[in-house]
Amino acid sequence: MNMANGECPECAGAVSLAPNTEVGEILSCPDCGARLEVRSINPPSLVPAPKVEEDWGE
Amino acid sequence: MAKKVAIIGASGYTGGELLRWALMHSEMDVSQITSERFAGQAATKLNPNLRGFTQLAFTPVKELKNDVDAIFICTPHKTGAQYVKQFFETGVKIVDLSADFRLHNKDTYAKYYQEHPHPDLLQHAVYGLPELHREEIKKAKLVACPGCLATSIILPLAPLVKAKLISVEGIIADSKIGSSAGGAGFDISTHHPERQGGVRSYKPHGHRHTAEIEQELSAINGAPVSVGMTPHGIEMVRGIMSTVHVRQTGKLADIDLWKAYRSFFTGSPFVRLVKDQQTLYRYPEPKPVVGTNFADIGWELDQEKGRIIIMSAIDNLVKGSGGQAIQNFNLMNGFDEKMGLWQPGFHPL
Repeated sequence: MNMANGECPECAGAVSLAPNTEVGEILSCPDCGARLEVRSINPPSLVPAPKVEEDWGE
Repeated sequence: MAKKVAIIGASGYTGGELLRWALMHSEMDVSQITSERFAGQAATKLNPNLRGFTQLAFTPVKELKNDVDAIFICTPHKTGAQYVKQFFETGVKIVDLSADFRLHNKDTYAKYYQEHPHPDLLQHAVYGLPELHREEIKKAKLVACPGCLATSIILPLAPLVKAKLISVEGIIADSKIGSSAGGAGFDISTHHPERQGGVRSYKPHGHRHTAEIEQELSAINGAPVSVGMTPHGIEMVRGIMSTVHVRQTGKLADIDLWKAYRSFFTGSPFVRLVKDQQTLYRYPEPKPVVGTNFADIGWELDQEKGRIIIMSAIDNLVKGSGGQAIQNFNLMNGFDEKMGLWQPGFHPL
């Protein structure tokens, strides 16, 4: 089965989505190393993954 | 059938490195290597890494047989021009690793070197940076291999100059370079107690390679480009790390630079873009390219100051001389550009 290619929003590089990729999965761009969240599979859509931040609440 | 080649001035570091690659190349048959000083001695006396790979011995250049398809010239400037003159009319393909045919203008050559001994031949030479002149190199009889520092500075700047993303005035390149770039000769400056632990700025301005950097970038720009370059000799045998400081012409984002670099270097297998958010090796540095023909290029935007800091790393003896010479030879002979050169470096090193 062919892998779909998404586009990295940070560097415009091609990011392969394996056939079993799921929405919400975190991938790394092979070119720039950005952590990317899979927003949709078809069509492939990637967005920068949320940064790990401290959450002290209010 | 493999091309028969000779290497003139093969006893230096550049010649030795070229010989290493040439011996492993499937379409090259090294028939002769010359050295006046070491005539009669085996190549492996000076290049112990080649033990078991060659029986060649150095001969004087006057004994060079006229039956080769290509000649590599690895002599210092001025001497190189004499050999180019001697062999150019024979029709043999020439890859000159000296500085004698890098500059198109004889007056610029005179300013940085001395009077050119054979200025009539300058028009025949192609500047041998494949990433800029691939198609011309394919048709050339005489290719002038770029300087090592020049290679490390032209490559990261060319895409941004072409795309008009940076100011072409006040470009500053700061380079760190390994001691092998000083050649196999020696004097007090290369003496171990003087060199050990040292970081020496040896030509703060006016380095000879500045001329070819400005020549090539100005041609891309269609107007003069001004580059100041300061090299530092550091405690490293191989490698160049160049950090180039430029100003943005407008507000840029990382993705603009990714696109400019990718667009320019499509089809250039030896340029790798290195700007990684996660690994230890986030930017280029010499160690991963040592022993390879790769040029690693990365950058960082300083939005607050409107600058771009560009980093490039090469092995001065490979992409900076011997490897690039093989890459040019491949193109001149219709071979795959990567032939005999496609291998990674060591890690760890």
